[in-house]
Amino acid sequence: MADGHPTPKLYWGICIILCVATFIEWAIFHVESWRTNAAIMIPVLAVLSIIKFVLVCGWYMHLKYDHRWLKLVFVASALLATATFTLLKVFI
Amino acid sequence: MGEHAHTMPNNTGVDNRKFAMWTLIGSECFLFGTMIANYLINKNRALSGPTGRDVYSIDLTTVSTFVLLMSSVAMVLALHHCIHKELFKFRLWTGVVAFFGLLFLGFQYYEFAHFVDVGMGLTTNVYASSFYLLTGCHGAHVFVGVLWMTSILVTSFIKGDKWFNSDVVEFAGLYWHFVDVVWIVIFTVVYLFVFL
Repeated sequence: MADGHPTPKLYWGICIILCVATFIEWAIFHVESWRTNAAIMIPVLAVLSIIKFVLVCGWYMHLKYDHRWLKLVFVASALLATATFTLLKVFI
Repeated sequence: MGEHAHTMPNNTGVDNRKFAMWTLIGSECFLFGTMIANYLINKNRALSGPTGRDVYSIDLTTVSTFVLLMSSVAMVLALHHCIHKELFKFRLWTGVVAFFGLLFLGFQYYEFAHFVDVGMGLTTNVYASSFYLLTGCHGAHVFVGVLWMTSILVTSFIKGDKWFNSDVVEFAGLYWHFVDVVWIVIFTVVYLFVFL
């Protein structure tokens, strides 16, 4: 790949972050008092999921370095899909 | 980026094949978005029978999540070595992707078999149907991805050490990473949030 693009070292670094995030998700689930506490679980798990999502899409899928049209297609679709299931959940 | 024999001229500045793959991924966002919406709506509507909170093993699902994440790492390494024309490493990591995909499917099969054993089958209640629709469709996507990786691996052996079509590997990688990303969402929304 051209200079400025990810290297295997960066890929492994991102892999470690993904593994740590997954471990944290598993760990907080095992805290009995938190498991059913939506006020803690929802924001923490949402943030961890978003971090994993952005890392995989941005670096593994190379979207960070790609043309803006590709970013537009994916980000618009993902946002619309998220809005769809959020609104459906709220109103039904 | 990568080798390609004949690319059509375009107005966007983007390879048409890559644009098409991202468009496919965009449409898949809607596919899984609607299935996740269906699951969320039906999550608390089971009238009888067990639901996720009664049967899930988060420990096992975390392991399968880890397997899928590792397969994504293997995929980017396969593409990297394909671009740098390192044949052995490219074949190795492509094989690892296919293997981890099969391993993930094995975990899914074991999990589903256990759920059926304890009474949560496909038609037990509306929660179960929604769950199996979503995760079953994801599993089917993983299976297609495994077939794709296997075909790339077999092609590289048949064509010999002259075959380094990194465009093909890149497009397959986009599909595979998207399948992983969908699982990131499913693991959180379906498996972890069910206890709330």
